[in-house]
Amino acid sequence: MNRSARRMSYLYRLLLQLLPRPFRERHGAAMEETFAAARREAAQAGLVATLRLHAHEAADLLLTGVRLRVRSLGQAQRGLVPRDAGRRITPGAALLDDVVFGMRSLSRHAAFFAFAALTLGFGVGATTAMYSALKTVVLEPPAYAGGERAVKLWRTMGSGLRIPPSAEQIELVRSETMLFEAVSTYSGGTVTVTGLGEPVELAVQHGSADLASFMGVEPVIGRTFRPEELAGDGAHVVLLSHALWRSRFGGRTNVMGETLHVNGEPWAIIGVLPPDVVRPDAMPQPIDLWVPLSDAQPGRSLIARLEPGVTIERAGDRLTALLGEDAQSGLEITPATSTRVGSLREPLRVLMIAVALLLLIACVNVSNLLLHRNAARARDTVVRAALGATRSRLVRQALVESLLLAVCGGAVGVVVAWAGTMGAAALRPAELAAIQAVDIDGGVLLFSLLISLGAWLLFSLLPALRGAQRNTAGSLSSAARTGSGGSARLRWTLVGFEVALSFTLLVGAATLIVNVRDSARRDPGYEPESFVAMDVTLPVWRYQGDADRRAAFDRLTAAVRRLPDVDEVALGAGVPPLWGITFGTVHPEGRAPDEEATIFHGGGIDEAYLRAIGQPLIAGRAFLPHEVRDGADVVVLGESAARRIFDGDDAVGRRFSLMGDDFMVVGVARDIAIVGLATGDADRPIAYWPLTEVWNRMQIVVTAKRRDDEFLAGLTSIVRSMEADALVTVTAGSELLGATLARERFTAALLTAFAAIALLLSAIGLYGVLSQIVTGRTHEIGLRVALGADRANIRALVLNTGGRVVAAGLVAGALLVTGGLRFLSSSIFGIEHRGPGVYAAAAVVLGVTSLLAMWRPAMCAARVDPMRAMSSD
Amino acid sequence: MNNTEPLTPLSMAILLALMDGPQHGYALMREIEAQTGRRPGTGTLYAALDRLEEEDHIAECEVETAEDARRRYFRITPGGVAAARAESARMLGVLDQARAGSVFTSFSALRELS
Repeated sequence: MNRSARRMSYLYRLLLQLLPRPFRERHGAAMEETFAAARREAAQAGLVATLRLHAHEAADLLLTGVRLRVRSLGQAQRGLVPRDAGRRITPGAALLDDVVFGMRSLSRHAAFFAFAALTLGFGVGATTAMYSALKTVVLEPPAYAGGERAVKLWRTMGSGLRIPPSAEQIELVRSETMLFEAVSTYSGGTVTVTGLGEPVELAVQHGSADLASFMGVEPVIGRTFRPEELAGDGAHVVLLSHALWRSRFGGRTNVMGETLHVNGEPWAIIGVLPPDVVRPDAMPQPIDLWVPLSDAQPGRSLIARLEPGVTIERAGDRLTALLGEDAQSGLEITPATSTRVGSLREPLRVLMIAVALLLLIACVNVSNLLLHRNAARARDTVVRAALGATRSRLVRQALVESLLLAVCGGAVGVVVAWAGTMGAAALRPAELAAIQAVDIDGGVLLFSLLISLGAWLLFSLLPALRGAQRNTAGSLSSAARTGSGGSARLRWTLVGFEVALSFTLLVGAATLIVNVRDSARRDPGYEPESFVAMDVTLPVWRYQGDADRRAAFDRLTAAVRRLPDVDEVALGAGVPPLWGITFGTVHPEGRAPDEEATIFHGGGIDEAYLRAIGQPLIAGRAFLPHEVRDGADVVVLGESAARRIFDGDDAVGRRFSLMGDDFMVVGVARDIAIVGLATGDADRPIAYWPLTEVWNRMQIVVTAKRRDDEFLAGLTSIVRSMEADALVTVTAGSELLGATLARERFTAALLTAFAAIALLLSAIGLYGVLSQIVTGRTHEIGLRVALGADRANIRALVLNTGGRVVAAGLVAGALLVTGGLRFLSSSIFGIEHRGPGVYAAAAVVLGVTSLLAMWRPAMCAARVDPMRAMSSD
Repeated sequence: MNNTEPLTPLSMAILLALMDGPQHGYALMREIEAQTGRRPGTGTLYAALDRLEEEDHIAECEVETAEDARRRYFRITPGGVAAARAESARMLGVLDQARAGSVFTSFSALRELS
């Protein structure tokens, strides 16, 4: 026996498992031998014969398996050997019989079945994929014990600003043992680790003593922190993440006591974390190192686990009662996952609605296909009814058949969902990192099973009801066969419905696309194309004083300035759209202080910075070199900030104080897209101060005549040659800005994909109904041609029939979408209702697609041969 | 012996094929194909053999020339012969009725109509 033959007989043995065990034991070996003989014969006849044999055998064994079980069920019930004639049907056996009938009927119409299952699969798959994204981002609690009761507490500063609570607030929360079962603090950051090859930036989590027990984390090797290690600034001890331990330490068990060079200092490794440690707030970024967080450190995030039975609202009320209503000292309490959900909730909600529409379209399409099939086999049904099949039995058979379809569609859907999430994860922008953990788990599978069943109810109900209504005599009349009359009207209604839903999705997608395009075209107010930003982090351990760092960056900027083709070099603590914020209550000179805190975007810059990024001044001047050198109390404001502080009066020369410091406004600069181009991000207050504090991480802004790779590599090597342990990335200003629309682009792309699938499905629906109508009316068309109708007339007649339905669908869709867009604009990124242009574009796309779908049926109708058509009946 | 219930066409074909002597599964398969124009799958065939065996219409038997140890031969039993006879008689009866009801002439009449 050669290899392929062995493989075949293995396959056959596998299929034999479908048969009941006693039968298999009695006949299995002989069947295998018979099959082998048949296979040898087929092999001589060629590949096609072999394939046909296998397909035949697979179907036959499947059916036999069911049939034998039905038989043994009957035997068990009656203690008799059943025969086909005069057999009393038990409910279970009847159901199995229906299943067999359904499988047989579906396998006889494999193309129909595959198509319907695929259609359904797309609907179920898209919905499942979106659900798994929604679940991963929004619904899933943090993955540790008690994570579903974990909450995060924030200090509110007015203006919707939330920052980590103060030390007193943390103590207060710790003392509220009636509300909170456990309380812990943490913070995150990055450190530079050397001595492991190239210097690397690693993600570090600072955790208080109780964080490990809060999260139920037990090191796989070593221990957690001792109380004395959390005193003062915290001891230099570190726990490695499991992944880091495996990748950098080869998973050695004797790493304890070895040292890791963190920010230039030796830290003792005291243990290794288990592989599945997540961040306390369930953010998806992995943790590399876990180090102690002492109570003395500022900016600690506060996390707590509610006592069972305590709701977020109750805890919030109690805290408000304790702290008073004062907006600036209040504590806000949110689910621990609120940071992860962030701005993703609304886009996900919109996409979820979109996939629900898609699923609905898929159901309508399958429903339509089933109606078509019912019409096509009306005679078969009538014959069965005439032979004594009861109406309920007929309906049940139809339902079982469609249930089989739903189950297969669901299975296809899971595959589609899996492929879809893989694809989406590959395309996902960095901002949507929360989606990286999307996977298909039991809950998601259950969801897709449920929606498959829901879809089954939706798409099978109408055909089943219609099937039951069918009157026996009427079915044999030609109306039922030709698809005119009631059934056709219903099917046309369904097609119109599909068109309306597709139109809704198309307009939604077009609106998002136009919005993204307009946002991308918005004038950012500065010149992102003209500069590149060098993001430089000097090693903390080598440059510890402000003077050291300033000297180092002065050397760096001087070196860059000496490069040929360089025009301007400037230094700043940030770069648009990645500036940090400064906040506090503003007190303008000669006026009452503001009540609410203002959040300023911007920070320290040198005298060349505004020129380098191309941000124009509207009034006053930029900083002077000596102001930057001496750290003068001056400020350059953006337009909105100046307007807000001085109520629209001329700001230059005026003074205001912020958190106790006094500043004089020397210039007002144009507002720029300082946090990006997304619609909600316009007109943020901007303030720049002279660059007095130079941090380890700074941005060097370079404008130059050249932009090629060689030039960019030259910039990197200047930094490296001066400081080998520095981290450096060079990015074009336009690239940084473009990335701020990543979320909008991604949402628009997904919605467009859904709209395209919807369009395809409704085109198929249109094509199917129209083809059937044309086939059914061949006789009539033949008669018209024989009576002298022009072929162009015939074509127009068919196109007209479909066109009316499409037009009705468009009108319904327009009404639907007007309401829908109102919701859309209220829910995400300030989307505006985009006038008739978007509607027109969507209508054109839909119209052209519909015309393409109707073309072939129309041509077929026009080609009808009157002689043939009229003799066929 | 139960000869009141009609046999299925497949059972009848198997019994007829075994009239000439013991056969193994694959030979039966080909014989049935020759008789009816359709070849049953192994599952259908053995399910039918199983039932015929249960009803005592056929029985397994040893054949000395067997090439393969797994190959099983079946022979017809007296009960099977009787059942095949009863079925043949029933079919002849049906045929007589059909002739009496001028089925054949009606068919030709239909053909003329269309």
